[in-house]
Amino acid sequence: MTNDPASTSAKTHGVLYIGMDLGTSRTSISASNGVRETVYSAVGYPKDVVSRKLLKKEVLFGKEAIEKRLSLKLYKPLEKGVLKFSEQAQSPEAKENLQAAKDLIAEAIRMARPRSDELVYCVIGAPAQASMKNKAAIIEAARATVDSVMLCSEPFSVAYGLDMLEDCLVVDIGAGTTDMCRMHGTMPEDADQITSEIAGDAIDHELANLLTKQCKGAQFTIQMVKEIKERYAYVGEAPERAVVTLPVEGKPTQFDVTELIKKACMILVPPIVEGIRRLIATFDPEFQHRLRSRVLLAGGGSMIRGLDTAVEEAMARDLGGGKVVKVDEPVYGGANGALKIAHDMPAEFWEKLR
Amino acid sequence: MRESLTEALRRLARRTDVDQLKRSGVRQVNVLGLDRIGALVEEAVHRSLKHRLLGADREAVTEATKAEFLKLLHSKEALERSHDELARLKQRAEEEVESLRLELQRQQQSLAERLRHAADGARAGYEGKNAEIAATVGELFAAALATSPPDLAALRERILECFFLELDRERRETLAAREAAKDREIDVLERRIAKMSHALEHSEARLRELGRTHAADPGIASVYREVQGLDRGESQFQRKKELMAVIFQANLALQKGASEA
Repeated sequence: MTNDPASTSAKTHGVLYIGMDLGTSRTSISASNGVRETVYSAVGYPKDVVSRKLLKKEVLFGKEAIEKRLSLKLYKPLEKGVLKFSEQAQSPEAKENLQAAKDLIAEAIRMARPRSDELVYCVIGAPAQASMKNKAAIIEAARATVDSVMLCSEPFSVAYGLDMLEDCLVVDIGAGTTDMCRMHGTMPEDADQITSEIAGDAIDHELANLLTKQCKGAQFTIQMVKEIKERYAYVGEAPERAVVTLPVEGKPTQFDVTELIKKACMILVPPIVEGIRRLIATFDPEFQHRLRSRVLLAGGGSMIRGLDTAVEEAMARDLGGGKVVKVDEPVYGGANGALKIAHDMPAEFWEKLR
Repeated sequence: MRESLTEALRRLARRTDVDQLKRSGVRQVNVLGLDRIGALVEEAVHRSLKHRLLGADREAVTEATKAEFLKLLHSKEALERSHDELARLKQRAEEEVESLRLELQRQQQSLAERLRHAADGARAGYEGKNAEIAATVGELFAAALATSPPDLAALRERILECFFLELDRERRETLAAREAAKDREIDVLERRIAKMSHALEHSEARLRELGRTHAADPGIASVYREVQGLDRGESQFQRKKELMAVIFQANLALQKGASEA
């Protein structure tokens, strides 16, 4: 699992393809040995000798890192879909963050359980509008643990995985960004993609603001808000009452936050509909109706109950109609698509990038 | 033979739980007991031998197969033993690293304490010196004011003389202190800390290496023995081929750009 020629020469057993969705909130992988895993994109290093002794680990990942964050120097290496500080590569923060990203990617590869005698070829779904510096930083982070790596646009990989290469509009709702991309049979260009910063994290902040205003005295962290959202998120008709327990001056107190959750989640709809409108309006008029009737919701945000209906209703009101469907596997949609790209990539291309 | 086979299957099997399966997208599983798998393997071997070999050969092959199977089991046990040995080594290295870290922390605290003491001592010395200078300057002023009219030029001369004398002494003392400090405990402590930091770095690297070796998971084999590529029978073959070329070119440019930078 290195680029060391001595070790790669012994890799005669086979080839393991890995598709990776490197997200702000979660990193998911799908591999050609059947493994599919997901981990929160958080990396923690013990703060001092005492915490290191207590934790018995040099580095912690995902949920474990978040749970033990008080004893850790915690990094969430991605923000708004891209590596933090990668534009100022020489700053100490950038170096620490890059190390955390490298460790996270290595952990994601490790979760795929590759054999040491197999070549590891990986395709990573990167945000649609990540800068060159940012993409280079992701490549650098990945090269330490795989034999060959490629990046591709995240919404494109979702569409490729579903074989929806033309007349389709992908809306990939992540934690940091919502990427919208129209597919028309060729590789999407900049004009085919729109990124909005109203995504999962923005919902968390909106919900936190609403809780502060409406639930007097309730104490909470943004992590607690995220957990509430992941448990109850919905728009439209409430499928159940969202009753949560939050401490008020140390006393656990119940709050009904059903309406607040709906209100927070609804902030997603207008920018999505506006993005769809812009992508449709700038497309060939003869084929605009086809795009409108194939809008695909993907990413963790698409798990918000009722979101497809809410977007469809807003499209009917503002754009004269449309059809919205959700991908079957929101968490693994990007990784599955990246895996399919890795599989379909010819051998000589992989070789040239080693 | 069947018990050995069952035991081997049990040892080689990977454990998982319902949540793990759910996360992997598995909703239903087919269940086949270890005894049943063992019986099937045994039956298959017997049938195969019965059809292909004569009685005497069959006995020989059965014996040879048994011996080979036991050898495989032993090699698995040897592998487990080497795993245990690695675990012990890792434990020892962890203890070593831990004691180095604690010693380093102790030495750093000791150095900080000494430096603080030295700074306090110097501060106390300065306070005494300041009082001495103030007294001297007071005396000079008193002497100058005693004459009528006061001789300010002589006062200025005396103050400057006194100032330069003090400055010169201070410079000499600073130089001497710096020289002395080089040979004293601080220097020893600093060198010890540097040495320990190096040893710690080395031990941590060793520990990481051991961690990797110990945690070495045989892994799960990919379904592919060789690089695949697009299947000609794939829908939209030509379009996908072109898309793969575009993705490759973009990545080639990106990685070339990164290596040149």
